[in-house]
Amino acid sequence: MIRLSLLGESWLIIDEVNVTTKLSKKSLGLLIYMVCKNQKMYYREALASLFWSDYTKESALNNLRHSLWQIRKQCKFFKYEDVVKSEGKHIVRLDNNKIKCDYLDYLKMIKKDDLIKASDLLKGDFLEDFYIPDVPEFSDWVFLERENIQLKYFDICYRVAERFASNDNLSEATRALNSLIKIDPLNEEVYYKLIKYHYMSGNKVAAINTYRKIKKILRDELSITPSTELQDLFKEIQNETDHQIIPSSVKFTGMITSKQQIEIYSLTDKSEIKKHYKLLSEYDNNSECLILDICETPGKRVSYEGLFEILDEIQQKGKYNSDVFINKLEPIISSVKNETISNDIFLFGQCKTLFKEELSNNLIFRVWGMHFLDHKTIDFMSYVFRKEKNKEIKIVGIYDTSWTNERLDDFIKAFSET
Amino acid sequence: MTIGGKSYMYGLINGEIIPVTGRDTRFSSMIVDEDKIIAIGGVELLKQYELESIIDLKGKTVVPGFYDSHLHLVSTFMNEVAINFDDATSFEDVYDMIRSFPNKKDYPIIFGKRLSEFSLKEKRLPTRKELDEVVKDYPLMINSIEFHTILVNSAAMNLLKIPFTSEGFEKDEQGLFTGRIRNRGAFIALKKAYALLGETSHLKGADKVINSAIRKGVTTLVTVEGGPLFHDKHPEMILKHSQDFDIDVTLFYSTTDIKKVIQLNLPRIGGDIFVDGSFRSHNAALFEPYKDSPGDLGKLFFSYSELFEFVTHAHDLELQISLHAVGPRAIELVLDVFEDVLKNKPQKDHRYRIEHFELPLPRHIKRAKELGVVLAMHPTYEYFFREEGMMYHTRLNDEMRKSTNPFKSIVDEGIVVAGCSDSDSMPIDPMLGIHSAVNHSNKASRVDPYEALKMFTINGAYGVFEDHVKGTLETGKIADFCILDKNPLKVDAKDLKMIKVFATYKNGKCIYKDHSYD
Repeated sequence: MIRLSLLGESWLIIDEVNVTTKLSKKSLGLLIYMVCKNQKMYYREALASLFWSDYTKESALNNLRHSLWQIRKQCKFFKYEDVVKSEGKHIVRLDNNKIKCDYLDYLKMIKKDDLIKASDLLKGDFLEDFYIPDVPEFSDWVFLERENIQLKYFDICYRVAERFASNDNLSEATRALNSLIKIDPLNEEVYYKLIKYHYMSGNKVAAINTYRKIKKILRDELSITPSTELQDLFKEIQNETDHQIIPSSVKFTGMITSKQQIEIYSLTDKSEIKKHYKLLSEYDNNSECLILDICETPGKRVSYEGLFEILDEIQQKGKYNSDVFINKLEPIISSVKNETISNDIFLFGQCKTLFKEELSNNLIFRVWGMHFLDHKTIDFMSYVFRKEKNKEIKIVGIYDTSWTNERLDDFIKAFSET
Repeated sequence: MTIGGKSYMYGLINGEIIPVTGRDTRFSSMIVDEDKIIAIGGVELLKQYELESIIDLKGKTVVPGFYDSHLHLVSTFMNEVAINFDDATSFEDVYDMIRSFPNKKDYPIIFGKRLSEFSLKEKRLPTRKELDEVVKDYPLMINSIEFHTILVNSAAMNLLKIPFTSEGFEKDEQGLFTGRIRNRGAFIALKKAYALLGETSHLKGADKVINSAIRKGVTTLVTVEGGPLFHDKHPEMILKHSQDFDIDVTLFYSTTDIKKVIQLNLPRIGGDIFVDGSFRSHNAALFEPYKDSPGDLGKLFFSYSELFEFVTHAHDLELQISLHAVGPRAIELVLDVFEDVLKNKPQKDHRYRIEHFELPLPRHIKRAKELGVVLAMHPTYEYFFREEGMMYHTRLNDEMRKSTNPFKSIVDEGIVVAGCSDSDSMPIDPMLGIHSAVNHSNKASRVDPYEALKMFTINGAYGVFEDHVKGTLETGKIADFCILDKNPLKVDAKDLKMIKVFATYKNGKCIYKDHSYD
């Protein structure tokens, strides 16, 4: 089988042997062009003038002849005769039946509406990093195809996500949309859909968490405010969620050990804020220590929102054995974020696995605005304090006491008494 | 100055010393001990001090070392590793400059800068295909002078992998990519290109730029780094190397990430936090449409609530805040936010800044004064953008053009205006800045040379809380000064830009002396 892989890095594989580098770049480009164009025949003159536009007609045709010979030679070596056939002096034919190409499969699958299979085929840009400097028309064609494939991929993923979301499979819907964020991390439309699906599924905390993320990304990278559509959607969610506080009935049983520490900078006097900020900023991430920054931006968090921030941080900064992370921990994060939360103890237990597998000896929750913390996240920190025995854990934070946060007061009291 | 462990004291005599402490205050002598001015006055000073040496000024003029209060230093350094299209007046010039750029292979991408279609006789930017004709083997990315548009050749388009969904790609009538990429796509490309270059490449031009600034009499640069147009590694480079420069470099970090600024122990935040964009990009926020784009009022990049939230947070942390606002709608928003934040929690000497303040309304000037806002303004815009066919003429209607950079009304109101170059968009040249403020094409907006001199000295120092140590020539202050061949307060206004800096002194030490100065 001759396989041509073009959606991502380009490979030419014949009978499982990678022969990509056996062809000159132009010969490979020529083969790719003919395979992708998928025509019954090609005029030699057209191909020659496309690939050797700067050459005289005769010289261009000679070069084309040589390139076709190179392609034939490789195919013949693996006993694939007549893949490229000449017909008279002017025509070349390519037997596409003998070649399997992911690009053509991708287009076929889209036509058949087999969207998931199509989306799985894309491993990167069309002909990623494949550039032939002196073939301008080929480059034109590559860029347009690259755009075409990418836009189709966005369309596919939107449709796939919509299908999954309508079947309540938020995890897969999110996965489809997240693959788009990897390509275009500043795309507001993708974030809009993510937020909408989370919201529709009842996972308002994930929706709010996603909005806060895109808001920060847009400000940092483009210095812009989210679009009116995104803002309106967020306001709608926030209005519904604003007063939705899930009360915690569990009593804190502070059992602070020598490995654990809480350091709260109480902000009774606002002029102290700068000093406290400096103290917090002096903690340094290093190989021994993992610092999780939460409540960096102002605003009261809804239930579990702080926990989502912790998950984002640990996903970004945590030191893990990568296989364990991909196989075991990523699915946990995905399920926590994409499923409606029903049982705190189960949820906390799952999240604790993330800490257990993490390789740092010290863990610091650095909470820039403790007063904004939601009750459930406070409960979770208490849970980690009680259950995680292998790490030194510290909570440092600034608490503006002009805000009321009774759960936080209880937590501080319980642990300061032990 | 210390020589052999002994304090070195010297005097300057027979000069016209303008201390910038009062409109009519002049001295003829000044005594410097080590890095400080220890006395300033008349010839009688000579008798009071035992001096190691005397510099006879022979009638030349001494002014405080200049401040450039808003420029992009790393980006200016990069001129050394970039092609500067400032002087290009045609495509042929552009192509020649690309062809003659040396060591193309040394960089993962060739940077081009400051290309303006207004300056090209073709009145448009070249296309990808046209650039390919000149350089097809190496990636080339040209940043147009307006920053929001870049041009790439095919190799760069291939390398940078800008998402097509970024909606910034322009196509020609045949549906082919022109290589011109705007807005979001341009920002992404810029970040990626900066990330490709290492620190050595970024700093390659540092010595040249700093020396050139010194030759222009500059002793303090206030650099604005980071933010969407540049890269977050730039502020860190400045902090890492600030002690290596012969003059002071004060940093504004353009970010809304307050934690980063606190972690770096900076007392200030912003510089180019964009509340709006620029006239050139049609995204400075106006109340009336652009002349060449009917119905287009530009764009605000912040909502009131978002800006209020950020300013409140930074205000609580006692950071000096500086925001970029060019058009009147943006200026109004910034003033509204400053006013509300300061009303909630007054702070007397905040020195919050508005950068550019290019097209304010009379009511904005009054409010800026009431709020105690410092304005960091760019007089050379009037010098470079004013001519027929240039930017102001093309984008702004007659009424708006009358009101750009109204220095006189601002200064008359008693507002502190810090003079800036905006390098690398404009050259670092305070005398040209002074010239531009004094020779404003709108006579009603002209300031006198003394006020213009203040913009680039004491006002600059005030703008970054350094006026207690620098910005004027006074006893006890740091001996930062420069010697000019002519007195800017006496020469014909038209000749201000011709005034030559003969010598520059930083911390009492001569760091530049012109070869013609004896």
